[in-house]
Amino acid sequence: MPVIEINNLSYAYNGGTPDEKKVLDNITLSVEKGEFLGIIGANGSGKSTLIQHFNGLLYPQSGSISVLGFDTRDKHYGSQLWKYVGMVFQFPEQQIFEATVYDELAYGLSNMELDRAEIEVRVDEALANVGLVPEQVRAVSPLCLSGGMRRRIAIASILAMKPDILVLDEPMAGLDPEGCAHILAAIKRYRQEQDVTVIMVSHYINELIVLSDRVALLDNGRLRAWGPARELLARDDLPNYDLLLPDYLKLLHNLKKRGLKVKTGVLTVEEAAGEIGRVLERIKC
Amino acid sequence: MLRRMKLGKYVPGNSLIHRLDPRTKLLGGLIVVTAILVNYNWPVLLLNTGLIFMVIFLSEINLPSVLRGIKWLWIIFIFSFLAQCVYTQGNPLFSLGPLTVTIEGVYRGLATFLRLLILFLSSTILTMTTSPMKMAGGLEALFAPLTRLRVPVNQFAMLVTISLRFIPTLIEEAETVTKAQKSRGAPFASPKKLVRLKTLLAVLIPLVAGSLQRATDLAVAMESRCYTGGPHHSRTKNLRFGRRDLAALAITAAVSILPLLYIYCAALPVQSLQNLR
Amino acid sequence: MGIAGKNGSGKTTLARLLNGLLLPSAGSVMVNGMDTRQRRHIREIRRQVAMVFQNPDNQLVSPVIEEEIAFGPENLNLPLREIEIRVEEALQIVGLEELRHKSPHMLSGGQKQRVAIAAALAMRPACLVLDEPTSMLDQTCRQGILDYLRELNNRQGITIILISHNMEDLAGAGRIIVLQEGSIVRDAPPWEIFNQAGQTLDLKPPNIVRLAQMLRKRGCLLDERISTLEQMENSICRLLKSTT
Repeated sequence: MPVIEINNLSYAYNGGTPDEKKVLDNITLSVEKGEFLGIIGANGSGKSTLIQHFNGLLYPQSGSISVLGFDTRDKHYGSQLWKYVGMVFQFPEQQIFEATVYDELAYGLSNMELDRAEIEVRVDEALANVGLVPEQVRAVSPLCLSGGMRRRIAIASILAMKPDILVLDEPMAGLDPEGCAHILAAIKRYRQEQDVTVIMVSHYINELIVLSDRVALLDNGRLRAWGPARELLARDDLPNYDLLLPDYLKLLHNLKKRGLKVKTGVLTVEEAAGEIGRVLERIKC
Repeated sequence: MLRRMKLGKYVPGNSLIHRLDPRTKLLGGLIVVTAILVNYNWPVLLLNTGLIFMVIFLSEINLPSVLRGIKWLWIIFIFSFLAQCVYTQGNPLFSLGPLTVTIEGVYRGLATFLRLLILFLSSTILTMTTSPMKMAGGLEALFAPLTRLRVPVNQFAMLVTISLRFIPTLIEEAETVTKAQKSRGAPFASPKKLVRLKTLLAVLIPLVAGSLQRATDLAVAMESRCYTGGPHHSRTKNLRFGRRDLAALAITAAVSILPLLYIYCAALPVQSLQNLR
Repeated sequence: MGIAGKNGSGKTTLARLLNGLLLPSAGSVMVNGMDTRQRRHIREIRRQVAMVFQNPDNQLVSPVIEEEIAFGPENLNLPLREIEIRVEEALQIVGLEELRHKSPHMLSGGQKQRVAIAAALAMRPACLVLDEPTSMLDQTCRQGILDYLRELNNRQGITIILISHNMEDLAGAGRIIVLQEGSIVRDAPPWEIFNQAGQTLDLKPPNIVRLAQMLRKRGCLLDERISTLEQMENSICRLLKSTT
């Protein structure tokens, strides 16, 4: 059952004026329940605009989008959507404003009008989920923490709301490898524990393709390709889009262009090594 | 919505007006504004209006884009015009119910309208043809004598520059934070004032915290580019007050001040004569 | 040259010591024979050692690109003609001539970082220190900046010191210094560092190096010194030619 259905969605800034700029152009896409959808695309390809349609921050200018079975243009429904669709913005640590970590996590929950006991349970759960020890950080001021820690707290504040659909915009941008690992682990854990749909926008294609069931490729506001990661990566036109593929994928594409019979639909370095090794051995024989 | 605040945004160009010394433009603007505020005789107003449109023409900026900034100001213009029409005593022109429009009123209304228009246009054209840095340099140079009175003019000019640089960034950031808090159910439209206030804080606090971080980073970046807080010698020294500027100032002064003098001189003998009697 | 290390290993502190933003509490930093502790040298040192920082937004001062680049030379009290020449030159080197009248907030992160580099170059430095210049950028811009730095190094002969926690960024460096808890633990060419990165040094080697390692394990005779994509591609092709 699809949880998000997008039909012919288009969106333009400054619509009607001479400097109209089309950001989304006729997008049709659906997201299944429990799925992990990765969205890739260059800067300005419309990824951020697209995901802001998912929780009613933006309404479609033309076309339609229904989330969890209802059209978001229904004003009453759209304004309640934040409870079901958790949105982690790019550099989410910028939104932290409460004096303690506990209050920060409780903010969304109290807006949901949950009772106190429930809030406490959820805060601890969410903190544990992002790999923090609740007893240690609950009373700390977020401003005293490192950038990576604050990122984790900001993400926990969304996870605590237990959204059915979790949307993340570049959650790992600007973090060191250790910080990235924490965030990835938290997303995986959240996904395992509950039957949720995750949609993630990321430039870190190598991390994204391993997690994703399906990947959507946006380019200049258009949906160029959409399908299982392996199929998408196997496409020969992939290097034409302004994406930065991980080196091992680029290598495979380059080798293929040189006439070597390698499959490009690989997800990890290990698979790439296997693929190149196989071809090399066959030639030797 | 906030992004549309583009009142008098600098339009790069290389016209005669663009190339004028910022000090000329600042002083010229000051003269025009003073002239129309001191006196609103018709010759003064019409000459100044002509002067402003002349400047716009010379600046090679197309008129609609200058006037676009007026948008909501029209309401004020029209309102003040109407108010003047109705509230001025004099020969009635026509009446609408209890309201009587007088001939004097229409004249005064038009005069007020023109004054506001000149005020608006002169400031707009100033900012549209002068880059913020040049403006800061011009202000710095004009106020330079104040440094002797220990007024930190140089630092103040830097402050203005940095604010100009970061206002758009802050607006963008405010938009993002607002969206992020909305996604956590922030009740921006709550009927309770206190709740709305707290929601506003949820946007303001991150903005302030972010700005402090920015300020720290920026200070380091500026220091490493040899900024020492002293006067910007080259920026002020590099301002060239040439013949062109002298001519421009002379014309402005002539257009604005001469009619004033003329009117005063013309009026004076009459008054003094009357006094004598 | 690259400087690698985890967060908190002292990379940024080291960078700031290089141009006298911080002064050493023991020992000394000499820049072309000038001691950073001597105040009379500080301006010349900062001119010679220009810095580019992590956040592209927080290091641009001026609302107009052109004037941003003029900021450094202005602080050096150069005459107007000279400033104009340098602005022109710097804009040309980074290829942002069309954007000269734009305001920084209208640019992408990568473009802003290029402006920051141009602004540093306008001081005609001998050395450019970049502190995590790519970590806030997306991957496409990142590659652009890196290619660009290599070109600067080759063509203009400017010493580049690139600080990064991302090993892939440093693959093109001539040598890499690894910092751990404030001290230098390794100083070697990239391929050597990368091949030890996983085991002895607590760093994540680039994917290409990992790929090469795996292939070597499978019995492929690949050069030990592979650290970039081109090197890998070429040596695979060489391998193919030798077998056929």
